[in-house]
Amino acid sequence: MRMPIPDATIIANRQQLIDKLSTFLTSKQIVIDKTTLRAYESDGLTAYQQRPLLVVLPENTAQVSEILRICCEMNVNVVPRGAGTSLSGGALPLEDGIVLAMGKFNRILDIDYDNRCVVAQSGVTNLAITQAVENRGFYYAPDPSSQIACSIGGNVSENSGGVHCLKYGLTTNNILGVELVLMTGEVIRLGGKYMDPEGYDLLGVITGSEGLLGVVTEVTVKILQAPQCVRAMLLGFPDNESAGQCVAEIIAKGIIPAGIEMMDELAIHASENFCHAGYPLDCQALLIVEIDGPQAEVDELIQVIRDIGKSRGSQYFKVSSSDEERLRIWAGRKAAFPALGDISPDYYCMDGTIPRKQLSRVLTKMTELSKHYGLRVANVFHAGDGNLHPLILFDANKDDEMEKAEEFGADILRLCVEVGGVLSGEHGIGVEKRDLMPDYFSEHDLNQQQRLKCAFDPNGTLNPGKMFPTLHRCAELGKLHVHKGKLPFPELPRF
Amino acid sequence: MQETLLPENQDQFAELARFCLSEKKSLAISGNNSKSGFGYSVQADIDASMSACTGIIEYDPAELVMRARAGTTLNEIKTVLTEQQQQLAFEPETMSALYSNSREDTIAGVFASNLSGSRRFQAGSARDHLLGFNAINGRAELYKSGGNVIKNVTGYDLSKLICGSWGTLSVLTELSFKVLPAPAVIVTAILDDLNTEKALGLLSTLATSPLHASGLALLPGGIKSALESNVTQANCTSLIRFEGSRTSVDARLREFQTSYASQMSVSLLEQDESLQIWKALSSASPVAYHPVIMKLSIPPSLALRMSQLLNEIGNCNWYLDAAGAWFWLGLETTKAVENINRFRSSLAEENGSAILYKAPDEIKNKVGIYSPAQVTLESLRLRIKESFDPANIFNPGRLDYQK
Ligand SMILES: Cc1cc2nc3c(=O)[nH]c(=O)nc-3n(C[C@H](O)[C@H](O)[C@H](O)COP(=O)(O)OP(=O)(O)OC[C@H]3O[C@@H](n4cnc5c(N)ncnc54)[C@H](O)[C@@H]3O)c2cc1C
Repeated sequence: MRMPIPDATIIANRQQLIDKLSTFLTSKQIVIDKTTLRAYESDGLTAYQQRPLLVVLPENTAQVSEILRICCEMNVNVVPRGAGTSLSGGALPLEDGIVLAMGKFNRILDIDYDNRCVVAQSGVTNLAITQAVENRGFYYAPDPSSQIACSIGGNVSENSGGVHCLKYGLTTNNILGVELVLMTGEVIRLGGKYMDPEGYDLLGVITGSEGLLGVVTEVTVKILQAPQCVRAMLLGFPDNESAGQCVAEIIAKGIIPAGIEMMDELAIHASENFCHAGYPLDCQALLIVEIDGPQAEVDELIQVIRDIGKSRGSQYFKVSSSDEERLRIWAGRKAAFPALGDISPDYYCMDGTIPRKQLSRVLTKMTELSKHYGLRVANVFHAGDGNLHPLILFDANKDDEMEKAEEFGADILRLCVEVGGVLSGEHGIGVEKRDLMPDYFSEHDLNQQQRLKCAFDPNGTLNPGKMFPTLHRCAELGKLHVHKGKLPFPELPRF
Repeated sequence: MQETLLPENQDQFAELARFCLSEKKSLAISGNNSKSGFGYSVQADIDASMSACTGIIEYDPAELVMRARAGTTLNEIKTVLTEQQQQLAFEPETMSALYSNSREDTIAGVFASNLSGSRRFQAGSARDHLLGFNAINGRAELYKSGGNVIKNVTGYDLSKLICGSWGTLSVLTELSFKVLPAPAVIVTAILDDLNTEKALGLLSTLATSPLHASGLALLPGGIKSALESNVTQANCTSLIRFEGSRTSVDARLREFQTSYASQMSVSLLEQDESLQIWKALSSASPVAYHPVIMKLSIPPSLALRMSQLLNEIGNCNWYLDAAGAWFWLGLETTKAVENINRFRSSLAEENGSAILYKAPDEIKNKVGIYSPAQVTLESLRLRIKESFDPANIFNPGRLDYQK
């Protein structure tokens, strides 16, 4: 994987940059020593590492603004970083760039029950928001499996999901506002404690922009009242296909469960051995279906789902009888990644989305690919919304297994696109899927996106090398090539 | 009236855009012009409509996704969805009462104007349901964004920008959007004997209760007559909607009556009556007869103060939706400028938006359809417009303040 060629002048000006930053930051806020820098060399995609020029740890928005202004002036690249759990290398440092680490933005600023929202600095963890309001029976809905660690600013930048986003939406559907610092150092506020801001929806386009458009310093999130009743069910099936059909039928019957997850045999066994969630070990596919809402509704739906399961050949059914049991069921699912890490030296997690009806075709093809590459693959699947997480198991110490895993992963994502799906459901493009973007987008599609990037960051110094396979200069992209057009008059009907 | 061109497919539209670019002509783009009353009037060389690009391209209810061409009417889409017991959860309703016409909304118009109805506070607005699209930008290039699946973070989420851009960034040609199961049963509980303060208190409690009410509105006395329904009581009327399966709705209604409304007299509007009233609320029809109409979107905790301010100003009618987060308000032209400035300045400190949906041109030009924004934000928006439409050929001036 190639990163943009580092600019030697910037590297040579490192000391000058440090001097400028030192005028308003303490020495503790500027990390320069090699050992400490090592901690920032990669994010959750540990296959890639790069030592940054510096790491800077701002404490407030004014400092972020000043840091960006200086970097803009000196043409220094900036890589924003939240908790560094990105699985697509979004926070991978650059040799000629600083890492702007938002860890000190760790305060919840306002809990506003009347307006059903919380205002938090961007470094606050996802789970901390829920913890701050749960004593009053509230919670923040998006719950990525990394929620104890990942930051709300990172969630905004990746538009993160979780196991409940089928019913409750992704980050983008659950935030009301942000404070954002542009690469020039200018600070803007988008949205607030209300629903419909005026003019173009900048909040919407910032969400999921992978740190390429601005630095998020503060986020206003919606909080919801916890449902009256929540139950989780386990349904075991003799094959993936029946499990897939069961999911389709639940949804076709008009039920939107709070979550539907599917795990294949390898994932079931690994999770069960790892954390003893009580999963049945004699089935090929396991569904976790969670239903929440008023008691009467939950009771009714459990029955319906049980029947659908039966009609699709389920061989195992269990419904949680206490909250403890329900959480244990989820603990198994949420620990699926580390559990697979336990049975294999390394794993590589993919994240394509497919139309659900293509599930069986995709799984069959994946089995073939697994044979072809000689690597095992386990599947956990946000089955309700078609978001696949195949985990390719490999050993980086064995020659070429890492390359093979990468190729295998790329084949899976191309397959997702081929059946009408997309490259990423929730983990983002980052550096990981960057070079696959042309498999999904045409040149026109990509150019339009890059022009938008130019509107925010004309010099292209904010997180370059991520998301786009080819970097064009904004001036070049902005040129308007006019071709002689003719009004297709006679052919056009008119009224 | 200028003639309107009707391209039949996206290639023809691209050709038309190419012509406009090379001949330096601008284009007024519409669906069926059902919401042409929104924004500043557009002075363009050529009028073009997407209303001939019609048809549902793909719909599989179990995938929760539909893809349709831009000019497909909202009514056709609703009919097809209803057959499968599905719906557009953001509850778009025609704005034809507001703009005094009977033209049918096209699906591209629904998204380009970011419509949403009373379920907004739970289900989001159009922007939360657009999954992807094909469009032609101001360089006459056909491009796509997003996809046909309900979970996707591949590339920037341009769908959000397109929703609410009113045809000023690109011409939508095909749209993929999320569809969801429709509730089997809809019941609205009506309470009449509460004053505004008490009613607001109740709505806000319900907004965070696990009863999951999907509509929480308040109609002050004066506008009841605008609704063709049998709500005829004095004081102000609170409306609380429950949707879902029969079992679920009944259970929640029981709990509502015992835990939240035990001392109150509650009447119920079943299915069709219920549908009718929420349709009216979602389409602003209770205030539609006014010449000037605004929608305020505010932190719900300000609702009481806002209602007092509105009553003090007088000469206006309003109702409140989304548990106090929205006010639709109708004004007379006299003193409209002064009053609009008043709401806006009262919101400026606390945050909130006040969009002018309808007004005579001279009022729009004086106060702007949007509140004045931060300069940095304004210039960023202009750069964004340029990044899609560098020669300003699409709907020039429709959203511009500085004309
Ligand atoms: C075990 C594990 C499980 C996971 N499960 C899920 C899951 O279920 N669902 C899911 O969606 N994701 C999941 N993830 C991925 C990851 O946790 C999310 O993408 C998360 O949102 C990243 O947050 P972060 O704070 O760690 O951001 P980082 O990794 O630090 O950064 C992510 C990206 O956002 C940018 N960024 C970070 N902070 C800011 C800021 N303040 N302003 C501007 N840009 C910023 C960075 O430049 C980078 O591009 C998982 C990861 C792990 C390791």
